Amino acid sequence: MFLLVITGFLGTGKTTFMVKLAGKAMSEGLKVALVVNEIGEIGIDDKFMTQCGFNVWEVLGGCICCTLAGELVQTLDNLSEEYSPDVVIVEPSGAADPRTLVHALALSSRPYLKTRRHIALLDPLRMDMLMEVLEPLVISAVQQADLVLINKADVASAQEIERTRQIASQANPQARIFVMCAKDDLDRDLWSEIRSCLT
Amino acid sequence: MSDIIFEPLAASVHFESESRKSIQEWTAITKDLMERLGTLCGQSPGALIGHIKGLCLLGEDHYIRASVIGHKPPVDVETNASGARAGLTMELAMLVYGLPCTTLERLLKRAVRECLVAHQVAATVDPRISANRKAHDHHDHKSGD
Repeated sequence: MFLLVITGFLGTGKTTFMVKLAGKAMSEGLKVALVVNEIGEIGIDDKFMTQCGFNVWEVLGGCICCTLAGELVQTLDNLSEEYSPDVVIVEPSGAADPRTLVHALALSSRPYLKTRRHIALLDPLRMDMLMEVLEPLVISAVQQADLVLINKADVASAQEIERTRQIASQANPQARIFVMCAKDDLDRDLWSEIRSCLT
Repeated sequence: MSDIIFEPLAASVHFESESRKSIQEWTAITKDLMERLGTLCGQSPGALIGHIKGLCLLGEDHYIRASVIGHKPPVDVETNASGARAGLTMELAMLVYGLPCTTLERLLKRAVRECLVAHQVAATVDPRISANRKAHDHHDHKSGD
């Protein structure tokens, strides 16, 4: 079972990307499960994903980067036993701290987990604002990432994208960086990159 | 950032119309509500919009999905539905830093009121504050940890 963790601040496009990614993975014959963590009583993302026909597990009532980390691991245990997916894609709340989540998952290594990869989504439209008020969270997400995706290429300016790319490459020179629009079908090169994480 | 208030508000907004409206019209109403929410929240002193998102499930695999992340970028709205209906329910999550959920509820009700006047529809708002306060209590890590 492969684990993909999709991080990114609130409103960055994680859910839209996750739906595209899961659809692509399923079209390639992979058995996919989605795990969604939302803050708030009404789970909106999980309802949307379920409406799109995916198998979705919720972790509600808090944030999986802190007190619900154990519940996430329990959910993965249940998934492994009851559903045996090839890939589990996890979307933490956009308010989660990826560093804390990575730490929690590292402490809970499981024999059924073949690999764990982190994909960080960045919003170039709000990069300056987020760096001003949430820099530790943004940098933490990039530093933990194997892959950095600069989303909203359809509406962001070239300057905003370049600025975001600079921040990402400075924070994590090893990470591969892609510019994309999550609303579009998954780019072939990007899918190849993600697919290579799943082997 | 850790000392900024963060009290997400979840709510259901049920719209009704005396006559059936097309999905295009309902999508426009949905978009209008989100624009008003983005403006009202974004212009409130000390507020930072994380994400305001709404979802209307319309049976089978049909939906209207709307999202706003500020008062400047346009509202993102999409639907795969068609036809007409006399009402719909939008599940709404307002994830806004810097405003208590009581303020978010007040802004939501104001935005809905303005929408009703503009589009000649009726609506009821069902906020779910207490559960979100509990959810927030769990999320107390600091951004610099």
